Amino acid sequence: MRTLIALFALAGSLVAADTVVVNSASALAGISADQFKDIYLGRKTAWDDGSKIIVVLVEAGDSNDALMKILGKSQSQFITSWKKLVFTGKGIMPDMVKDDAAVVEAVAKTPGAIGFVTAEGPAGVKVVPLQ
Amino acid sequence: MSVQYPSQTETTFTRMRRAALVPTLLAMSATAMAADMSDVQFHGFASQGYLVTQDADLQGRTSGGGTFDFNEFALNVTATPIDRLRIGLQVFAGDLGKYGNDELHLDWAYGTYQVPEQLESIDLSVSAGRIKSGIGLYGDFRDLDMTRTMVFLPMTVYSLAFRDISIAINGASVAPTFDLGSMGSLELTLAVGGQNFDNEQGTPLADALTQNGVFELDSTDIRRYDIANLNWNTPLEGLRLKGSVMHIDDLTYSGTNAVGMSVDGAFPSIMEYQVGVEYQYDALTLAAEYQRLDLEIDQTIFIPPGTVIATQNETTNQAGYLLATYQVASKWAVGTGYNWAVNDISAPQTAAQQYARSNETRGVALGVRFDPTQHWLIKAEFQRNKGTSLVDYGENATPGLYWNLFAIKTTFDF
Repeated sequence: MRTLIALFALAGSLVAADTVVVNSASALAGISADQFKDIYLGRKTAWDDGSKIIVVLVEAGDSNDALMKILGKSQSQFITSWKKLVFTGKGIMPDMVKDDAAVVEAVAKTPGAIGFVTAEGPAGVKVVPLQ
Repeated sequence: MSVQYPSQTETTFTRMRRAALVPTLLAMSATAMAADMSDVQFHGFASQGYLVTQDADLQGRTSGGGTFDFNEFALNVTATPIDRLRIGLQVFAGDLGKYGNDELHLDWAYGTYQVPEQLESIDLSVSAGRIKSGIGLYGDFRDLDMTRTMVFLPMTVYSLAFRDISIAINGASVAPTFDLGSMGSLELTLAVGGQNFDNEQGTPLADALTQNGVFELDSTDIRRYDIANLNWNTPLEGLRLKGSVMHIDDLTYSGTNAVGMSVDGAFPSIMEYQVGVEYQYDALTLAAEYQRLDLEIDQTIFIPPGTVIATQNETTNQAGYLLATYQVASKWAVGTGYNWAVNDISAPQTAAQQYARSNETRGVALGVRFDPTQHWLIKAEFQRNKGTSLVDYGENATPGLYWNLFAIKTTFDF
């Protein structure tokens, strides 16, 4: 029974991989967990070369749940923290889209964009390891 | 002493204007969302509340049948025209009791430039324009109903009466952020500038300076306004500490009235210190702040034919609060808090003021918030207070030692 549960857990982890994607023109080779959090919580708004960061995420569902887990926030806490930035002139709201495919599509066509998906092997974008 | 009340016509006009503002905002929101691009964004919010007090009044007549003069509206636009530069502005209108009256004014309007990184562990940005003051844990968010569980921020620390003078300054700021590695990060903001405040009768500050309208202000000025904020995001996830210092140098005013009296006054120095701690663990948020306000007051009143009354004193006001909020479900949150204030009042008090402890307030609050959608909320709050340093004696000269407040509010944002 334990073996069966372990196999199901492994299968689950294989189909739902946390994946950070950036526009294919990006020189980013990898991203630390702290940098990732800073970007998704609006604390870091420009890449090292000064170009602006466009944040893209799924508005609800598995990818959103996985992202909130990494950020250590509930969905409402995440939204509230962005509203604080937006209504004080300190940030621009992330692009929130319907599903992983829309994240990949947005990142693929937007220079400076970063996205988070749980889909494996997204095409047309650069996958960067979350360290 | 005379207090000026809006005429029935003005009140009706204000309500009509407000009624027209809500659908306008909603219509604009649809357009704005359609116009949402990565480089330019439009956002806004509209809040409408109902407020009723018992045994005291708060900024106008709020006892009896209560008041719907309790709302805020804002629209903003933010853009990133070039790399490293963000610009934006927000217009705001609000009403709380007899103050505000939905007059539209510039809330903030500034540009921020992200300086190219010189040192790996320091991010630096500079801002200029009408910039948010950022005093305290929540000073920047006091008008943003959607960012908190309670209807009100603790009123003893986040004074309703002095919102206008503490919300923003006209000037420039420099904001380095230090990456402390395993010790977290440190965000410092230093701002210098000035402040222009409305010297028309009927604003909280004008009422305070003119003893509720004994004089009409002819001139007001602030020589300089300085702010320093230091926020430490500690290594413990969710824990931050913040300290703020605000200094107003030489707030001066003069006024006259119809019977020939005149006043010349100054606050040579106003110093405010505020320290706070916030801890967010899962669905629980705990916060506490302490505030100290040191005022130097220098005022001379001339009464014809030849009487001169000169007063000069120093006052220290202290306040603080404890606050706990909990997200019980995805759409429901509850909160409770305790806040207090003690003002050092050297002026003689009436028997009623002494009875009602007009130099202090201690109160508890209970609140609940429901979010039907991500952009629409409804909330309610009940307060039980002892002491009357916050109440409006102009409406009720004999408030109770204990008084209650109930408020309900709904907010839409986009």
